[in-house]
Amino acid sequence: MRMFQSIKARLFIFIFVSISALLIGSGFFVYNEVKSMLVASVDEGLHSDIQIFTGLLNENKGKIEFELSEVVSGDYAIPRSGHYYKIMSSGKVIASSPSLVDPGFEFIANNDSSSLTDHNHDAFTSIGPAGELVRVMKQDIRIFDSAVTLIAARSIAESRAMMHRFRIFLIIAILASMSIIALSGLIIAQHGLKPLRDFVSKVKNISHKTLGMRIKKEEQSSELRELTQSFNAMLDRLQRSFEAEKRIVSDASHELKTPIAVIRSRCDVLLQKSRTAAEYVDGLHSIRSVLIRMGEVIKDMLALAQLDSGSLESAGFSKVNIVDCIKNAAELAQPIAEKKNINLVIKTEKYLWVNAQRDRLTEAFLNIIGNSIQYNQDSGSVIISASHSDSNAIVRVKDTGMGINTDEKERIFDRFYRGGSSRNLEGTGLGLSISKSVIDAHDGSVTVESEYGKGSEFIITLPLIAD
Amino acid sequence: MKILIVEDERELAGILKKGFEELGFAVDLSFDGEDGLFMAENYLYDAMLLDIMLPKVDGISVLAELRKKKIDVPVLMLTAKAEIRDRIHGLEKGADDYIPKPFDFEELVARVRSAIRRNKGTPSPEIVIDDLVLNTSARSVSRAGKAVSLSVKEFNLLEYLAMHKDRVISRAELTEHIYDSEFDLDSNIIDVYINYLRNKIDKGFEKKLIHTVRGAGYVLRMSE
Repeated sequence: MRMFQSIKARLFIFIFVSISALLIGSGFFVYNEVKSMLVASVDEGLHSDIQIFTGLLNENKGKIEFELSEVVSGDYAIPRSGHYYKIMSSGKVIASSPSLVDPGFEFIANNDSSSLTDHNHDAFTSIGPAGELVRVMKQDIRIFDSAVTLIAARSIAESRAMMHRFRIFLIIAILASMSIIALSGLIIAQHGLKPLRDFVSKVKNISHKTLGMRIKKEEQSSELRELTQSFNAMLDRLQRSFEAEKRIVSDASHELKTPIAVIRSRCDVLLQKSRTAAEYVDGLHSIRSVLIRMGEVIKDMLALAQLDSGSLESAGFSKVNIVDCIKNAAELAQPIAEKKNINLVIKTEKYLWVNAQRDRLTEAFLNIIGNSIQYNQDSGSVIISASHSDSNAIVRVKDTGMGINTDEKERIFDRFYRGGSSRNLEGTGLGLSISKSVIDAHDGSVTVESEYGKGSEFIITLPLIAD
Repeated sequence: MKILIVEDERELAGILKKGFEELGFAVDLSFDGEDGLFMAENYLYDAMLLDIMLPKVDGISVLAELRKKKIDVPVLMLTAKAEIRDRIHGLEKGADDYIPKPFDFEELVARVRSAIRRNKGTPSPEIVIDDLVLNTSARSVSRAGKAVSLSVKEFNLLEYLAMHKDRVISRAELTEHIYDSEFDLDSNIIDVYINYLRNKIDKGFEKKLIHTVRGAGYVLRMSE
């Protein structure tokens, strides 16, 4: 059944079967039509013969006579000519054509032939005196107070032979057309599928290295345009995610190579000449702090990789009051806030229940609060509020920092992105990405609103559950 | 020799400065592309270390701008991007060398020195002027086969003069190439060092190599 899975085979079979059926059907139709037309024309001739015969009947002294005329001579005079008549009255033959040879010859209807009976005449097929096929018409009339039966017959052997030839011709013609159709069907199927094959070969040319390639929609046949469009759209999505992936790998390698370069250079320079113990201690301290920061980056990268793999979704969620998460996060952020002399203000409702992973959500809030502290001015403030609207908990973290311009707004949640010229500020550049991933995993959302130079506000929305 | 390091990772920049200074280089630092371009356009450097990922203006653009302005200071690109494509791109834009991070500091220094030598048209590390032999990589000097011991500053001065032998070099140029830009330029100090050098190199020899060109500066050459 494999071949029926091929569009080509299906197309071919469909074309072949449908056109062949049409041909055979019309062949039958034409054949029958011609056949019945022939019979009808013979019947018509016989009918008019009978009309003439009726006109030739006379009454002579109470006896019905048939007046032979030139009209009925000719073929009727030649024995077994194929043209016959016979006129009977009350069982006796009044007249019969000489062609009949034996006036007593009876036309007996073939039971397989088409007979036709209407009004008072009767048409049927029979065997003639010469053993030939004849069409017979028999009509009973009342004339001169007597019942008269008129019988006219004509040979139809010739038209039968013609029909036979016609049938052979039709069969040959149909068979020939069917083979032509089979051939052209194959060609059509082959040709019709060429665009598809071209499409496939184009698709084959696209690899991860040539993801920028697109199949030109205008070059495709209209049936393939939709496919082309969705294929190109799929390529767009693939390319975007490939590029994002590449950028992340390149950023990650930069983030890891830079501290390694720092440590390596520090060691190389330290070893360049002999130094005092204090210099070595200094060097070791600075190497240690770089290593600690590097450890943070690796930890955050692993956390993100874990979030990406969807491990959070499968972990256990429970009913959590996010007000507790916020308070815990603020407590954890307090020391860094104090360092910059930043005032943390918390204004929340008492209970906001969500289905969450408590520790991860706390971490997400901590990262956002930490970000607001880090990018704040000294002695600024961070205002954290939590309320509800409809079926969502809304948490707002507002700072009095440097703000974010519109370009940066779109990138602020990107991995390793650090605002403005802040590449040397502390942090791994992954905090907000982690927060976003965690909040996304909670079916929530996080957005940022900002007025450049005045401060930013992060808005976190999480779906509430009934308490 | 004076070099400019444009690197936004301040800690790394600081370490490199320290390392190069210990080897007798004068080092200026810049932490972003815009400032780095300004420094390179306005001061004379013998070589430049340029990071690619920089704030404000990226390293490739800084390099392109310098080459457009016909500033042919040797540029060594420093970067964490190690893909061959990036390297070729950097070299095509006119970089003299391409050093992926993390690097070996000794190798970095050797490459910087080699780039400087190639730029000055003295590709061999050994410069010979009459019977004076100066080895820029071993940082050793000998006169008539006898080793001469020089201080870092003295060596730097002699090295610069040797690399531009037969050319008269002004006190200002000497100062600029031997001290970093934060140094308070007082060209009298050059006269002091030239005096030290004369004592160590020319004293006791009939043929003097260091000559004073009045009103112009100094020149290192075989004869008057």
